[in-house]
Amino acid sequence: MSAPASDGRSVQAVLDDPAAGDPAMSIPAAGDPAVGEPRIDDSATAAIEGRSPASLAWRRMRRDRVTMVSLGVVVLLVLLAVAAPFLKAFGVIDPSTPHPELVQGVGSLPTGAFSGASADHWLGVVPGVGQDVLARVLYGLTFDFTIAAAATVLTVLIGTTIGVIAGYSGNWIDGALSRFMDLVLAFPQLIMLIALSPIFLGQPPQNARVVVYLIIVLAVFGWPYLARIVRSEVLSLRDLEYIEAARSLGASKRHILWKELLPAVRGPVLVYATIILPVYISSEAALAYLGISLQPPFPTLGSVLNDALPYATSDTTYFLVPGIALVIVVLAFNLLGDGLGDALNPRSDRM
Amino acid sequence: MRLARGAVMCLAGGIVAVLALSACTGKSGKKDSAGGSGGDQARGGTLYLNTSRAYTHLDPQRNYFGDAIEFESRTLARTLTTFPAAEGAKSTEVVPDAATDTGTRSADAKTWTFTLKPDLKWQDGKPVTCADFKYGISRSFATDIITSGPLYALDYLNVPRDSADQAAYNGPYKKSGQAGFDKSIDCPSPNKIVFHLRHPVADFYQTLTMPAFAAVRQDKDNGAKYDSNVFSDGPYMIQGKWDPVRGGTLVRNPNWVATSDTVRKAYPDKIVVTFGETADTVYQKLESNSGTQKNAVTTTVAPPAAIPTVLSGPMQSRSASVTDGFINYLSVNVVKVPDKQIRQAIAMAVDRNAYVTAWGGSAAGAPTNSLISPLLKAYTKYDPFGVGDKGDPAKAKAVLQAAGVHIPYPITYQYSKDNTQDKAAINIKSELEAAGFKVTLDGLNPDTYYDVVANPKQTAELTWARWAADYPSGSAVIPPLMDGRINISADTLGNDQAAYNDPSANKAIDAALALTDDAAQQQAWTALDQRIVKEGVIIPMMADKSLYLYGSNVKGYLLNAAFGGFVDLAVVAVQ
Amino acid sequence: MLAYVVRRCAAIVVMLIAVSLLTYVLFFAIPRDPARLTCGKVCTPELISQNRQALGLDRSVAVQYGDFLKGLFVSRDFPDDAELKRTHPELITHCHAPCLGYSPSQQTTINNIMGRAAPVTLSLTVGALVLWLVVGVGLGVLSAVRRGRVLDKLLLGVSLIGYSFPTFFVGLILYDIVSVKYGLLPEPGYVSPGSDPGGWFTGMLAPWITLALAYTALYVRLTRAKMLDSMSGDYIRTARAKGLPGHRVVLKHGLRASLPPIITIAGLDIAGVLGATAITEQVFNLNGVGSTVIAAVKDADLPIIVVGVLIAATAVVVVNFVVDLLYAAIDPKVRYT
Repeated sequence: MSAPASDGRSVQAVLDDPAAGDPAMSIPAAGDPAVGEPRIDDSATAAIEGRSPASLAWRRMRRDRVTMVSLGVVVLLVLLAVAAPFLKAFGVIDPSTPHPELVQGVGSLPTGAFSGASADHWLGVVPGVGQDVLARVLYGLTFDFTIAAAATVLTVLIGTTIGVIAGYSGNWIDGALSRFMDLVLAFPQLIMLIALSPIFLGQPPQNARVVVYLIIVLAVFGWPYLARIVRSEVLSLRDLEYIEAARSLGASKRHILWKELLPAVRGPVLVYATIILPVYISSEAALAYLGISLQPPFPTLGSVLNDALPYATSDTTYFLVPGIALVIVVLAFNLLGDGLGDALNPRSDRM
Repeated sequence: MRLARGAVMCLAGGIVAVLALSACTGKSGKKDSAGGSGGDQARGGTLYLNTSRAYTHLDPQRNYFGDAIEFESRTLARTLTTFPAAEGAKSTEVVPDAATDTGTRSADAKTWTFTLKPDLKWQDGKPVTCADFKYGISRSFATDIITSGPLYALDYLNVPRDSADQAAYNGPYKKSGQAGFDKSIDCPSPNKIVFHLRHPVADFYQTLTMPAFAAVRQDKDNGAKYDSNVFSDGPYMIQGKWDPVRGGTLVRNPNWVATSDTVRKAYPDKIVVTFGETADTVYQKLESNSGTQKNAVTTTVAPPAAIPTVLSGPMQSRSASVTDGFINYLSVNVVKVPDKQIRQAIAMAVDRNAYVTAWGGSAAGAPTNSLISPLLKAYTKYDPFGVGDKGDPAKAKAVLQAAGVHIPYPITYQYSKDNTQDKAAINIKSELEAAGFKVTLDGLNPDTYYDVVANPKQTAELTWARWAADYPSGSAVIPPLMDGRINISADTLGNDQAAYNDPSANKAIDAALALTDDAAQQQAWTALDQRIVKEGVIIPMMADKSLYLYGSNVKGYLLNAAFGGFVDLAVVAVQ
Repeated sequence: MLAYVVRRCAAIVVMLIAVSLLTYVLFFAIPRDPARLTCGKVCTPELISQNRQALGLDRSVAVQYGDFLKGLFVSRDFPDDAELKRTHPELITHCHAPCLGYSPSQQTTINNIMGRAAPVTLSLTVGALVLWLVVGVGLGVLSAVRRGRVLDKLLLGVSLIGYSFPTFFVGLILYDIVSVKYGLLPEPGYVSPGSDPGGWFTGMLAPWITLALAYTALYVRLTRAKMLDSMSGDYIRTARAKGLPGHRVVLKHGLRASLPPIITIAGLDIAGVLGATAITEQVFNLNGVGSTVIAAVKDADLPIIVVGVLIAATAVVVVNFVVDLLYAAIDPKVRYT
């Protein structure tokens, strides 16, 4: 799915730099305070004390209930994902032990409604083998988060670095890097994930390889989107007065980079990272649907889904649970990303 | 034969036949069972055959998969004898096809004579002659190009041997040793064929049902590419391009003479074959029963996820099920696990009931302790270790401890990977770990699975396999699987994944093969089967059942047990 | 304008060459023997070396790439063996220019394979595009006009949820449950629009909805955002102050200002769409380019995979080019860069 285009604002930056690489567009860059109506920020005018942009953003976010709920869900999911291996080690959840006695229905369906839901198995058991679905979903979350988070971090590192260099350097460096970005962007991320798999993964693939493969390929074909956003941010900031002032005061390039530019791009990068993580999780699920995933006994959300899909009509609960779990994860991150974007770039006429 | 489906064992003869009949006859949903709605099948229409696994080799000498064999036998390649279109035990009563009868044998069963029917025609109108059969059979010897096929011809025909006791003939392309081969099959006239066998084969007329003994036109043979260009002498022929991976279309062979063929009715005008969809997809479409799916059949068994839907409500009336003769079993490699007690511990720990559950429950199969299918005469029910079907990990652990090895004892379990097998593997892992083993699961690519586990350098301590007898006898189970002499060489284990090559067992195999009394021979196989199981070399798990769904317009649907329990295309109609 | 077009054309050609070169390097200049990735289901040592020879994989990557480029203009033979051509001409496959390559596992030219597959993918992608633009933009406008009200909040909420469903999950629900179980959607499948336009339409409905769902959701929000942006511009307020009726203001001025960026984003989204298209084809068993590549990955048929990637990348470059031109046509300032 197209990563940056979750709403118009984060793509505006992309608009400044369409495939032609033409920077001189009439559409203003995101976050450009010169555009639109003046901000109506009562909290800032009421209390006349200096507040950092970050705390201002936080206050704005706090007022948005939906975003706060999604933040809560995301935090909870991350905690669960981190905790899952420990929960398993302490025997609280058990994703691998089979319970054949629980799946004696016709075709080895779980005996009992809702895929055999019971006090021991809140979300039922896996048909055929009787493993606990909730445990598998939780454990699967861990892998998905790990892979997606690592890929996101890598994407951010590469994308920010190149984006800043391109935006700040100008002239031929910028031109070359932008061309390079266009080149990489020509290769759709999901297609490359699928197409490169026979080369780098054996059949069936070993787990370590799959993890490394996913992280690297996701990042390699994902960084240009972020780099573009960063680049156009930097472009729009480069010529602003406070940068010129810093330069005329004798600030080194490195100082400007670290102290002025990077903090400025933090906002869009954070929003982007929040939005791209669920996309990476969805991509992992799509690959698992195609059979490219980790081997048992390691469940990932995608491979649990892959097993559940044929049971659409015969064990609908089992079919829906991992899918809905995936939707909840993606939804929570998307809502959070939305809210973050709103908080960082307030446009009160949008609310 | 391997993998999906194969010729099977419903037995003919005696009281046992009656028992076997009731075990064999599957439940066909139609009320007038045998032969389907007998009588109201009509010519015309298009039959759609949607199957998951492609019939990769339609080259008759390379065809070794049950469903592909059944498909080819019924449409493109006639053989001297064949199985009739019947259900249960009746399907194994061999009838003449290209020949006028089931052959005349010499007293020592080493010489077999057949007369070809008149009116046998290729798709270009030329007559099928003895020379065509001889040429077709000779192709089996070109093992460098004609790969993956059954090798009975190489063993049975009286072709001079070389120093390694292999046939000194390498096929009609290279022709070294051609004279020696030519002596083993005589064509005294174009419509008479005489086989000279190396040793007595009392059931040779059954072996001849395989497409490996079908005729091939020399001028139409293009070697390795023949899979895509089979030239037909059956009721249908390939239209346009046939893709071994995707399928193609068959249309009527205008030169096939219906009166020369007592078995094939050829009701549909056209057969459209599609490979490659997953089993779940094939069944999704059959369940929807819309459009062309009303005229559809499949040779893909219902996957576990589809079983509840297929067996529910109105859909059940267009479903059929049969014990198909395949045995799911585990092999313990005797080279990697030379200690008999360790092997026995593995055998005692596994739970067959859980295994059957993983595969889909009673609709998918029944637990078994024998490598020989319950449908065969040589089958007996017994409990080798006194642990029942459920297994006993505690007892197994005691045996393992008595063996004096370090616990947990590490083994790897290799199997052909798919979702169902993953589940079965998890059960095995948990049972074995309760018995003191440390199990690493290694699910392999299904397309190359048997090549990998047959490779002595890549095979593991415990490997999965599945086998059905090529014809209804223990002689088609024990020797092909357990005779180390024909299976094992420097770079392959053949079908003997356990690398079992026990000299006294081999002697017992030879003795059994030499027996001329059928009952005595089957008893000998029973004894060998029990011995191998008790030594922990083979761990039989499940005797398979097949459940199929078909479209609502399909008439005359029957599952032919002799071919492996697949839909018999000889009598199926869509109008 | 013409000068701009010419300049962009030149840029594209360079880009396409770079894309094809990068593809070749990615797939053929690897430590593993590429010939092992060509023989589909039955890889024997003989078959591997046979394929290596037939596809010219024993030559350097540079030569292979050169052959490929040459093949775009001059027809090729597989295997390219003059000796074999004389003795066994029936074993040679002839590939007419522009030759995309040869698949050893399916034993036919990739031109044939992709020629069969391209119309399916085109039907799916274009149809879905039309669907999501019409519905997405339409609902987005509605949402913007009814800003803050229940309908707006509902649309925003539903679209966010719709965006969060993975494509294959939506597809399977529509296929297994909606179409097969309850019969609410016609049976999906591809028939050529030439031979059966009605069947083509009904067969593509479920796939179109699947592919378009996430993007419709996106475009509702995008259109709404852009409309709100443009509706807050000064000239709109002037128009309103002048007393023009509300809907005319919206449609004429707001939409016209919003459409160019929306179309641009649609163009930029093409890369993501191609991935989702492949998944949709797989779910509905449509024989398009995407599912062909997926099947080739399962069979390890490298030549098909490479061509599939090339087609995808070329589509992205070409679509972006078209979008650039459209943008230049609308906004003259662009032409001078």
